[in-house]
Amino acid sequence: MYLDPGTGSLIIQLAIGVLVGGLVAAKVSWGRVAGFFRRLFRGRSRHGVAED
Amino acid sequence: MADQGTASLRTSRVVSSSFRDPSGFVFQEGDKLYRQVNAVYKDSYEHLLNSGLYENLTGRGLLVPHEEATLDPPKPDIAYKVIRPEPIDFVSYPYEWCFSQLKDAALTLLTIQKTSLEFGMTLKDCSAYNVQFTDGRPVLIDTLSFEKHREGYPWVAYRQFCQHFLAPLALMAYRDVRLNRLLQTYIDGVPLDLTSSLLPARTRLSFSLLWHIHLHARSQKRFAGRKVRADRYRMGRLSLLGVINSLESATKKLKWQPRGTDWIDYYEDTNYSREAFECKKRTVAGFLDRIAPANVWDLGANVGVFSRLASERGIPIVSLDVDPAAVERSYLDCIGRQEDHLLPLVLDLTNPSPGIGWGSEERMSLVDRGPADTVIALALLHHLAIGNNTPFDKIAGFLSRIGKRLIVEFVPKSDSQVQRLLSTRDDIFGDYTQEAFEREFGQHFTIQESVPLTDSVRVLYMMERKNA
Repeated sequence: MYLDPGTGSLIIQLAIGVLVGGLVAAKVSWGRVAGFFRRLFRGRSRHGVAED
Repeated sequence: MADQGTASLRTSRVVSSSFRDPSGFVFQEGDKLYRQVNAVYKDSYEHLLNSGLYENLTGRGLLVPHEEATLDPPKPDIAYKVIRPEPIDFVSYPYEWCFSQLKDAALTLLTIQKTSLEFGMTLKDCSAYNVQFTDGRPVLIDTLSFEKHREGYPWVAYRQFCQHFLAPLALMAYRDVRLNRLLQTYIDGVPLDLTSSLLPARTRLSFSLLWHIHLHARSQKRFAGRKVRADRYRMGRLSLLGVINSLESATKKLKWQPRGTDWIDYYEDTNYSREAFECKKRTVAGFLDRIAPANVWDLGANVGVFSRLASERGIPIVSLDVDPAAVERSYLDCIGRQEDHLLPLVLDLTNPSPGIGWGSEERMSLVDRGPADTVIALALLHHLAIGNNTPFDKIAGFLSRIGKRLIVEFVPKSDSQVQRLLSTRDDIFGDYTQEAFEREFGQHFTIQESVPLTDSVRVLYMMERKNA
């Protein structure tokens, strides 16, 4: 019996998308947060060097 | 630069593998291959070129470049354009690739898919047959594989990627490297339920294999035959990228190496002296310089030491061996040394790739992809004649079908490698003599030269096919 596997493939892709999409979002957000702090500290240290 | 059209009396022939995609088809005219782009594909084709995606991908060597031809299309009523893709030296198939070739082809398609999304397009299919090796690297040859990406839609080629790449790679990495031969049986990739049942249980502990293979197979079974309105399902861009990233990291994590061996000493099992080896190299190189072939097939090439005599001379060579580990080693060397002209492939000469697919002609047999200008067969005859009980006349007949010229080594019974073969079987090979070899090969070939190897009992021959 041949059954078209397309529907199951679509549904599993959506499920995986929900699971890993969060990871991509977290990565993007983490990148932003990390970038913010990097800039913050770089700015401060540069400031510090200037004061010395 | 565009090809000039020829008016009438043309003998265009649609290539037998090109019938699934309504966007266009490949046809042959003379010795050149062209692709008709159909009117239904006009928008996507224009977007591919105008968005910068074509330039990006061809510039990075990921997509085959093409030029537009002014040739009359074979089916003018549905045609938009005719293009001429840059030719490929030798068409190979995924069931002939070693582990790293299949893996590199997979990663190439995923890179293309990620780039396409940046340009508002997506791959609408992900068939392993759309990838070919040229200049030592995998390249997408189907210019019509792209379509505009509709925001919110899932990747339509997801299932095909899993079946054509992730499933066979996982089977090769976790079960047995020879299982890529399943791709020869299953033309649209290895079925996921079969893959799931063959993979070891521990693969369920891998997040990506659990979801992309095991649960994917369960989902296919669970929802088989169910009607769903595909347009009701949406996935965000982050989810779509997440799926592709997950496939990419799953593919990258899969690794294979011959068990219990070290690459470095894997192929030191030779029985001849340094002097004989150097003499053999010199003689083969001399024959190649005299023939100056347009292309070469090296049969039983092992890790491709002698194949490289051709590739170093800029001659395109297909280096065939039955041992997936030897081909893997040769391919990794190609990548490491950035070699352009060598294509190592896995092939069992006693059972070479047949024509398969629709009408048994969708994928060509090895013979149909020939004849090669020159065939090299070194340290091979004894394996075919004694190891596989194949008489000399059968071997000569086959070699004359696949090559116009032949560089062949005769290994006599007194050679220790032949003695090793004979140690496990009765010597029923009374006709395995140099005289019989010359007589039977002389039926199909003109023997042009024979050179006994220094410090060895072996003899090298250069021959040309009769009625070539």
